[in-house]
Amino acid sequence: MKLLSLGKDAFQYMEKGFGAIFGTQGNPFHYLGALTIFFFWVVLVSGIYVFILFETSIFGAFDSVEYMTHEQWYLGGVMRSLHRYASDGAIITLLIHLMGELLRGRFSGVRWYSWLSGILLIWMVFPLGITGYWLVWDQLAQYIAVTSSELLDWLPIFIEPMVRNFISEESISDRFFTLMAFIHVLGLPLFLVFAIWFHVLRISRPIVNPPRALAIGTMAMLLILSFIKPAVSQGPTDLSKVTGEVGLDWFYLMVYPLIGDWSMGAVWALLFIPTVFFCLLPFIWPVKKPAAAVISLDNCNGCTRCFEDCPYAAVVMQPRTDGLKFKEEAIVDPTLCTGCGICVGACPTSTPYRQRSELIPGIDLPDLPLSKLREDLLKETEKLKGEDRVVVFGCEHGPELNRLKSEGVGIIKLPCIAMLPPSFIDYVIGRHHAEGVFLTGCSKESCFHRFGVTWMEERLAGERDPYLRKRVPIERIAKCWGEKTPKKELDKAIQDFRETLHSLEPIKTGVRKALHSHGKETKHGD
Amino acid sequence: MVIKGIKILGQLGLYALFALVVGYFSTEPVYVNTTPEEAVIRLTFNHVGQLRGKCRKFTAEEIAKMAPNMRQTMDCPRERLSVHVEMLLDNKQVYYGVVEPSGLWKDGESVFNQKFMITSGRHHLIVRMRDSKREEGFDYEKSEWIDLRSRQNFIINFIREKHMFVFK
Repeated sequence: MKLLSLGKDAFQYMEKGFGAIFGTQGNPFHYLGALTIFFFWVVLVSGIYVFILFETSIFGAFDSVEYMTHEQWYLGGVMRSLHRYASDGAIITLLIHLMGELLRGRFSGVRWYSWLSGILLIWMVFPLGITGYWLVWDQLAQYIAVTSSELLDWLPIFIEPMVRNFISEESISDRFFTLMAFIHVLGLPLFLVFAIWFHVLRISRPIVNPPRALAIGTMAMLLILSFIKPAVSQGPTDLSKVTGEVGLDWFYLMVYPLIGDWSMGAVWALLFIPTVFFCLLPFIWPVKKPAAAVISLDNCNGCTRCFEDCPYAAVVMQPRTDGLKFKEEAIVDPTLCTGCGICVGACPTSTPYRQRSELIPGIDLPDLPLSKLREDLLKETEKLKGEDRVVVFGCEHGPELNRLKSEGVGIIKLPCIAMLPPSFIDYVIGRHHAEGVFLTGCSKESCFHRFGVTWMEERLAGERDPYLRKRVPIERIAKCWGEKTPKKELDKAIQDFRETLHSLEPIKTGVRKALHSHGKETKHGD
Repeated sequence: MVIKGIKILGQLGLYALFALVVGYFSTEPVYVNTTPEEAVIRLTFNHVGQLRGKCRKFTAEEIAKMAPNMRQTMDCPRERLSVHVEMLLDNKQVYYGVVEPSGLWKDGESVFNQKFMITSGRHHLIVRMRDSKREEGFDYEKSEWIDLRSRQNFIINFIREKHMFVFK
């Protein structure tokens, strides 16, 4: 556990470092999955061109690859290099993506589906790369053909050892080679496209494309690398000899040297045991699953905001069933709901001003009902003293909050910052429960619940329903995003904010300023 | 302005680092599969061992118990004997093994495939195989002096039709 925590810290500091250089909008750490898919597109496009020049025959394959590499180096050669380097790049981003999701704990609960499909995706990516090297039919291909066959022969699949196809010139079958080409060119890529689709199926608004600047930068890097170090073959095959020195692509063939040194059973164990472990991880990892959101049909007008904002596609709309004159009603799929509360923050009925009836919004969290949130808020603010009282609303995945608590600072913790309906901010300031509201949470692009910070920012800016009302003096709201915000930085941000509040003209009872200008905003940790 | 310049330089540096990692590990470090001093002998064959039991005639009683449409006179067991293989190099045993017949009823071929890393040079090679019920000795044998070239892929096969080992 401690190791995981250390790993998570290291990962987040790296993420922060990259953010400082690329900016939060273009931080590659926030687009690892999208970058992997981008590499896949480069592989696909370059692969189509390479295939046009490729001769799908064991007797012509090597020469056709040599032709494109040397005779048509300016296009065929570049395409071949792009094909190789994009494939390698995909392995790097894929593995970092996997590691990041593991360290952040984004594999359990409703995320099991994306996690499991992601692990299985890896088992398609590696054979895709390996069969690609096979097709070049050079010394490396010979090594791969023999070694892969020996590995597969250990499994009780084939009666005839597969390796016999590659031990002498007479034993090679052109048909087998065509089968390999089919698997590499059509079979696996097709499966991969479907697998990527499955992978993102259960999340809303999946990010499948990196930002333009990052895509251009990555493409330029691949192109420059292709010109500086073009991909070349390693001499024609000679089956009368065993391969000697081979330049391995370590991204795809890292296990291959073990095949010669370890027993085949041990190699398969090395491949299968971690796979099975990672596949089972979401089901064996102890995780406290919060209760799913519930709909109060009497209070739901079918406005679709919860449906729009749910990051996990756990809310769906269906025709009205209670006879009320609304077109639709929301329903929650409890198997997909993480209990993040973003839907509660999006609901127009989530307003703390409601006094005459019980505070029950159209959608609510059983573990933290909105009425309790208001109750906690009132209890917390009741104790605050001073002329610069601040309520900190913080996401539980953001910076540690308890230590911020003081005579003038109250703390309210939420599963996600976007659970907070903007009307609560209005309520705190307008009703003089505090002089200012301070919001904290994860960094925008690596938000634990994907869009929490984005939705909150847009609500505050009046770009997303439910808006923060314009009457709320925006300078009385401060924000600090970033789970790795240093303590000192956060303390200073709150201190500065309180000093600003001191300098502001007090809000008179019953008079609210309608301010449209941007107020003070502190941004840290991004 | 300076900060922007530093950021751009930082981005270029990180792209270069990524390219360096990809470019290097796509072919380096070189892996030595076999050294020039080594060669491979691969012993590989499919061979059916002799039948484990002889055919016998069913007794009249046994035939009477069979369904009328499935009556037959001879009982011929399908099970094959295991194949014993031995390989000696310079009069030292480098391999001895028993290869079981394939198939659920053990009535298929004994399939064998194994490679041996050998120092290249001149060697005296003996390969033997037993597919019968005999308890000692072998039914087939081939013995020869061979010159293994550097990294040679030397194949030993058993030609079923000719009942003999072939060296290539």
